[in-house]
Amino acid sequence: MHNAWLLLISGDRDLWFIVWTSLRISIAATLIAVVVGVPIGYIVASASFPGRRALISFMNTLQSLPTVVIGLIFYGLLSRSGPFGSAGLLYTLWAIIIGEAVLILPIMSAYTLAAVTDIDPRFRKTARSLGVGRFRESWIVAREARFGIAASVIAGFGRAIGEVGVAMMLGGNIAGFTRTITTAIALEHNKGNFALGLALGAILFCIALIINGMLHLVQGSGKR
Amino acid sequence: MLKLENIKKSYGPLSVLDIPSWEVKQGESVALLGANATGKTTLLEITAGLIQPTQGVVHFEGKSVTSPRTEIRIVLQNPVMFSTSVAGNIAYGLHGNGITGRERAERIREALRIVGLENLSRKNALVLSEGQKQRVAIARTLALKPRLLLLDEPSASVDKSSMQHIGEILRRLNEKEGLTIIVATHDLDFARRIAKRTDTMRNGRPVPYISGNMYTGAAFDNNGETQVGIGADVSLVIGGIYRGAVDIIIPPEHVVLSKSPIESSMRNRFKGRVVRLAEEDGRVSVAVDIGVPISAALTHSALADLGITIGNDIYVSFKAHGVIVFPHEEGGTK
Amino acid sequence: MTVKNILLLTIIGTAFLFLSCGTPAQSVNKPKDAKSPESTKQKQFIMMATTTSTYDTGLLDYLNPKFTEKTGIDMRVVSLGTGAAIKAGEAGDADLILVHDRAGELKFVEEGYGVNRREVMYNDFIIVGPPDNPAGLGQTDTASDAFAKIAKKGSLFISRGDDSGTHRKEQDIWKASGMPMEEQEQTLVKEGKPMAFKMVKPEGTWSLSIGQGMGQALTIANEKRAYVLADEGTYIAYKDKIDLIILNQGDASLRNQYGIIAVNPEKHPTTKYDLAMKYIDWITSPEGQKLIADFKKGGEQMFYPDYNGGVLSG
Repeated sequence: MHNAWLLLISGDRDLWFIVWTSLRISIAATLIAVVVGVPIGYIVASASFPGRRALISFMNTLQSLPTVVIGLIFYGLLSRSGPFGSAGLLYTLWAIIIGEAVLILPIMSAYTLAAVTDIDPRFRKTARSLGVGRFRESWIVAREARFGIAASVIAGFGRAIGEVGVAMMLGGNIAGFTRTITTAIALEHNKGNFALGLALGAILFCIALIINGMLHLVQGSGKR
Repeated sequence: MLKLENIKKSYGPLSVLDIPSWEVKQGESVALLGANATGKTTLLEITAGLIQPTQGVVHFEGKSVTSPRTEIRIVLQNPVMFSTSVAGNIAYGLHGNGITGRERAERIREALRIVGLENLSRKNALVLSEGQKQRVAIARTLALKPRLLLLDEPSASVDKSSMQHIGEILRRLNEKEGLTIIVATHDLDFARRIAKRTDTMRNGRPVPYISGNMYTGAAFDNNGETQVGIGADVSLVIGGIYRGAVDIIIPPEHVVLSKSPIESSMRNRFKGRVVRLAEEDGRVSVAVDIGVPISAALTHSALADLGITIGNDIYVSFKAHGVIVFPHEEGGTK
Repeated sequence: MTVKNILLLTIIGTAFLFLSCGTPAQSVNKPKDAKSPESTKQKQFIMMATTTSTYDTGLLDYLNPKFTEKTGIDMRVVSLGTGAAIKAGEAGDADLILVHDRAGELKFVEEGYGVNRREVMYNDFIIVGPPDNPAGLGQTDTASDAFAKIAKKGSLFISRGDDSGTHRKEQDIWKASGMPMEEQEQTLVKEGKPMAFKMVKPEGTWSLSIGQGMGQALTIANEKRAYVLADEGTYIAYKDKIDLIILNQGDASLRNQYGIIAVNPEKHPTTKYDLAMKYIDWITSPEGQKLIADFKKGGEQMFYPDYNGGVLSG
């Protein structure tokens, strides 16, 4: 325990580089998932088409897709002997980013879907009665749902930074390169090196606290 | 200006509207009376182009209305406020119609001025009172400069003074600016306050409302009570303090008939003669001469219980506060 | 609130993306060796796949920076189970593999996936058990005889059961012991990856397969006062935490031989064959071999170099 505390306050280079790596990866993955997932969630919430309910059910199921399954699939895709092998992405940061983006995309969509569906249909009606165009109408409704959408972003980020399956399988936990907080904790645990594991765990816990705090704030503000 | 032709609207087996013909002329202000679920909202929304009729056409100045038009605007019932400032709420509609920059700011200012909310421009619209929200909703539509304004229950869930304020705004818009207005409401007082013509929903179509008991007179003080003299030597007691020329309405439903004088708290008691009995829209209208003609509206069974005919003596009573007063000057003292 | 937030997020995010694209950071381990992780641009690097037990000893974190210092080539090490490490070589995801499974290594070369296999170092397996030694193992027993004794007595035995090098060695010894064996198919999630494999284990409930690493095996064996086959390195690392003692060692079959193999460029043209050979040459050179011998943990030598003065020793 004592050693862990020392590591934290001494500003150990290795430690903080690992944290930095985790943050970079998770933020990038979150951004990609936002750009793709939020519009999907919005469209499914707003449009009506045959099979809509089935699609929503499917999207919700995807949220609980295990990280190892995603890791496995992309391992097969990105390995040199796989279809996208020539990109040489396996065991690099980008592999993790892609995997995590796919992991949290269903979360973004599902949260956004819920947030937009929750919006009083009278908003849409009012917007239409004011004669605004389709695009503007969408923007207005999305703006009303902004807290729910923000919550989806935060939740997605939290999931990405705390997962280990994708980071391990696609990143390889390479020292000084693709070692993230979670893979480092797993490694140090296996080596019996508890100080570093504890220190990293403490940081991850703090991040989780902040994430949850933000989530709370945002969801609280969302209630009128 | 506006003509509804053969409009029918059904939801499945349920028929909500059945209107062979209904017209509103330019510059009119029409009140559409009716309780909930009588089809007022549906009628207004079809007129505004928000929903489609099952059958029939809405004509506006010769063109047919199938989707929201720039000249026709509607203020929906219990309007929702967008989560932004008051000015922001108005801006949404303007921006969405391609009006930006200086013109937008100008229109927002003007709209707020009309509804009397200039100093609340930056306030968060979500924390306003119901009356203020209603006015914001009206401002939202006014900024788009409609020629026909539809309002669905603007006085519902709004306190009395706000209601009066809104009524004044609407009347001013109609009389001074020439804006054609159709208001759906279940509140007779409000209807009478703002509209020159009142229709009511019967069996899914608007029909003219039985109006009666409208008088003009002079209000004066008499021992602390305000009285209005109408006709040769008839004066009645009204609530509040008014002076000078006034129009008054006594809703027929508020007029109580009795064969002998009633001991009650009602300040107005007159004796008169029954001069006319007529059936109108399922009720009986009893006209009594008390020096001026006054009508009461009774159900058939109430009339039967009373057992009166033309020529009978009858006593007429009504409350001072039941009288609706329109002072001739704007902002007459209360 | 939102528009500003989104902008902020986008700016930060884009900045991050630029940063993450261009930095193949070098291995950063001991503070005194550490250079700034982001100081490199377009550096050469080699992907090495090795086993978790090898990596966990810390040998490579000690060794590789010296190679990088000398040649300027970055070493990126991914540690997996033995089977997965070999597969990484087959798939071309690594440029060279360092494992300790002779049979697997030879097959790897035979099937054309690897070239230039060299034995680089070795250490020993040991049989450890409870101090009271209920099965009566003797130091002069052969490994297979020792295992037979455990089976006959029915003493508790903890097996790695994870298709690791240690586990494969363990199975070899069991097969040689003449005790009745049963076959099993197992699927484990290792290093986050599900792996299926076949294994044999002795019949009897006294043999427990845990599907975990060496450290856990020792800890559990300690708790249950059981026998276990361990590699010397991990045992040394755990000595202070457990009561198990060494009851048998030194048998030739207990030798844990490490081999290093370059991935065949004919199978994977993009593999960095030349750089990989540089590493292999270096690690088998007198300099590299001396470094291996000098690597100590808890004051004890962990690995024994195969080459003595440039010559392969027996």
